[in-house]
Amino acid sequence: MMVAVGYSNLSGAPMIEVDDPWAPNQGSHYLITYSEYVDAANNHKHWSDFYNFGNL
Amino acid sequence: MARMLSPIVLCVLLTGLASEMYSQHPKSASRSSKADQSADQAADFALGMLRRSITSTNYAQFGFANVEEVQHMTLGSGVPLFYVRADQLSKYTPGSDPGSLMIPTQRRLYPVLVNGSGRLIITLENQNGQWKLVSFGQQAIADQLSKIKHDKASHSRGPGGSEDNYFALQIPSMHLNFLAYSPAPGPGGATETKQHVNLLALDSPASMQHSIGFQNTDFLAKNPAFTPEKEGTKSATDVFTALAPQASSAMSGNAPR
Repeated sequence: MMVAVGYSNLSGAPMIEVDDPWAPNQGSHYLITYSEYVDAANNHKHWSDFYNFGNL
Repeated sequence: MARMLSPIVLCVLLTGLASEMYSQHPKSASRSSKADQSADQAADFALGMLRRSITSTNYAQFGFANVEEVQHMTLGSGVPLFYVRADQLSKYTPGSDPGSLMIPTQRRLYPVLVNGSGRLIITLENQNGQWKLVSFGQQAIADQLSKIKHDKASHSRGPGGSEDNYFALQIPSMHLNFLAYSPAPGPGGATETKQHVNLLALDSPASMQHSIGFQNTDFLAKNPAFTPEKEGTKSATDVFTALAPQASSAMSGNAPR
């Protein structure tokens, strides 16, 4: 599970900016292509997005 | 510059279920070639894209000390990337060929260096003969990837003595990353050499201890040199034997609704 925090278009490629809580106590920050966000064979597959959430 | 989003939490299933089996052993993919040269050129182009993406507002998130460092970025040498799937790892039997679990990805990882230190990784993928950008990131292992390969190749004999023999190995569902090397392939090579894939840890000891792969095992305690700092080497057979019982746990869970 990770957090999408931004988007951009890089030389025609739609990119998503991601905060990933792994590694523990460090985290990581990525720019990934939209197709990578959707699926990467033998690595991951998109499940669900949660948005418009907040404190109860 | 990236536009900001309200945070969206993304759920992904690590390690897909479709089986794309290995037509290529890792030892046959870790050699320099014309394909590597075209990948190098694409990585150089991606480095220019990266320079344009890092600004005064996001440089720290990408692991840079200041925005001026962006102008000093250079490209390290790339390595092919292989995956290991948890469902296949769970069936691994000690002594069998660990290379048969290593799935070629058509991807290469390039460390981005500043003053010789790895800051992040550019990932490229060969799509229909053309190398395309996949991602910028993986700050946690960038320095280790560039440093360990150089150190080991400089101080090793045999297959570990050539940087061309190295490749990266990821087990996505366990958040584990390794640098690997193996003897040169060769027609008619002895069967036992197939089992001589050696692994070096790229993840920090804390990260490995938190990984589901090493939880409930004494592998790390028994192998204290298996860290990026100590550059200890373990055979893929030994590592996979330790990880296999944990692999089914890594696969468990249902899609969130």
